[in-house]
Amino acid sequence: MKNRPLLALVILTAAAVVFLLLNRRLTQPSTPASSPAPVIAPVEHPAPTVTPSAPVTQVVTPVVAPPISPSPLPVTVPPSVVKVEPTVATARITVENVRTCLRQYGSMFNGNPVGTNAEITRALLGENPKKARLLDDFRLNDRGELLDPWATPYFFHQLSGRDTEIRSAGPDKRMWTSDDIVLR
Amino acid sequence: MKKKNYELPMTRRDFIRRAACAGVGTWAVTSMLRDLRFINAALAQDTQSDYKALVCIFLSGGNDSNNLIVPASATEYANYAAIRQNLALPQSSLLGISPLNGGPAFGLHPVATGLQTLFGEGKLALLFNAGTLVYPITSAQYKAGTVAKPPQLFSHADQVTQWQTSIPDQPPLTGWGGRCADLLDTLNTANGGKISLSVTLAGANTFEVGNLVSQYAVSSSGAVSLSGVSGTRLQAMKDILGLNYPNMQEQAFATVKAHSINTADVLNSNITATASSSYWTTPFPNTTLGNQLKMIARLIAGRAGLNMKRQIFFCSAGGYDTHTGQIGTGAAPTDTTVGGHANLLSELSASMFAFQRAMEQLATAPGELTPLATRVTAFTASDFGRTLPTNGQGSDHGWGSHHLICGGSVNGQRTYGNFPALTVNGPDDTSTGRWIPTTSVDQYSATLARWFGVTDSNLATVFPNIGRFASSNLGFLA
Repeated sequence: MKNRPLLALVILTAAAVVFLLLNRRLTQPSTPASSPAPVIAPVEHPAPTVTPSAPVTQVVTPVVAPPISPSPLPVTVPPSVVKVEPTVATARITVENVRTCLRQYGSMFNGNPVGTNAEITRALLGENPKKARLLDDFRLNDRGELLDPWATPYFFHQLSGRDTEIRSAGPDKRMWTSDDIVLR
Repeated sequence: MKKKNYELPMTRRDFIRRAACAGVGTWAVTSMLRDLRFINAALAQDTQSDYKALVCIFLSGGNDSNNLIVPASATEYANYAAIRQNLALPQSSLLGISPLNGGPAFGLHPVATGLQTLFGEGKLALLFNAGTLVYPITSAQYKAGTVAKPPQLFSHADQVTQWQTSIPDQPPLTGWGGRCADLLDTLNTANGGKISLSVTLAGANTFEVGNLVSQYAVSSSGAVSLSGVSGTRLQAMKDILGLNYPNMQEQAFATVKAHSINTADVLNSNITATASSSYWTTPFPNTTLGNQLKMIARLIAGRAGLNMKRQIFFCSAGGYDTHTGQIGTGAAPTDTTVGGHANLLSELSASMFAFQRAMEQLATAPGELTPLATRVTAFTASDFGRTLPTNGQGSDHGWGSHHLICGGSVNGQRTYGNFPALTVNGPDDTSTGRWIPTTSVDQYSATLARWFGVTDSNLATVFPNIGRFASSNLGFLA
């Protein structure tokens, strides 16, 4: 019984050796020497297209790429500001975000902001009793109106104190047409 | 088992039972006191026994009254046209009116020929720039936020409610029509009135919600009755409903249903004489509003058989929320004298004209001292006015708006209130061509309610905020 600590130490040491050996084997490439080298398909990194006529300047948060080992592929650093043609899908997300802001405001103040686009925008930007700034990542025109992804001011239709219909004119930039994006 | 050696003064079960009884009792006493207050107030009302009716025509969606009444003088019209742009009516198309009280010249929308005629006959008054107000407020106060504004301005549902309650700064409980009905219902019950004082042609509404009087819904073709049940089967159903039921809920259901069937029978039997369209010398337009006003005319014609002394009617026409399609048609897309809003105003004008003629046509009932037309007043209400500037295809939500009051007791061919300065960012503007009302809904409604029979001492009961405004009588009713 005296040798019990010694025995345990030996067993632990043996287990550690076995574990290290096994781990080393697993981390080594298993490709047999005879197999052909892997073919890496060249990946085309599409350069960001900047359409001069595109009306929208979408602010894109720069993505920091992880360090890449020397590679034949050209590495393009994404610019901080690129112009992207909005799609209906992405625009819908933007409108949903506006709706979320309105709902937050409605919860905070027991009723959605009312008035013109500019008045509602000012309310969402802090012109409210709690000075709460609820809008983030937004674009305004020179009249202070909140713009949709196609640079057309939103139309806020106040149906009731807690129900505001948000209308984006959509790609054709004309209100009340079939491509309007409407959420409430 | 050992008996407990202590006694609770009151068990939990006893306490709950007694508290519940006390609660019910307190509620009953409170209700009774409230009801007694109304009954006592009603007894103190004017003892005038002649029949009177108020007809609320609600223009749902917010009427663009900027194109209903247009300034006709050169300078004012130029302002109007410059701001309205593609919505502006041609000056040459306006229907001229000549108010007896002078002032600047105005014109009506070219489709409003019926209104022009009534105005010229002295049976129509125009009220300028009325809207919901908590207190009188100026443009500077509005912008500075120093005076309370009605909550949720520019929101449909909220503004409809506030127009109909006339208490914008409190949660809606009753409408001002319902509160008038509570006060004056004794005139009907004392006369053996067979239906509710408050009748709606447009479904449930806030305007006629009262504490005592319930609104009674009627369709454009009469009282809603059981379908597919008639003759022997209907009599059998009435017999069954007339039985005594030991279960209180069953008994209540039977009572309500039997009352409903009987009321519908009584009402329908009293309007059969006026069923034919040819009965009316001036035909009602076959539209939503025209048919509702026609049914109201038929109900008024049947007032003697229904033993009614006071009636409040509510009807409504939708489609006034003209953000788009306000003007033009496919063939003439830029013509401002046609299109969605022109169609609505044409319906309104023709319906109000036919209704006024119907009141003039109906004979005086036995015991009535004055012609019926002098005892029926119709008036318009709407969510809000609309912006003077165009949005390109129509107009957006505004605030103050112009209104019409029609009837034989109207001090007509006159204008009331102040016409707003048609200037964006002007003295009557919030900032974008939305007029700040210079006359409150309270003042407008109180003038109607006083004519209907609410005494001065009871005005504050019906309109708690009326003391905040300069006058409770705008003078458009004799």
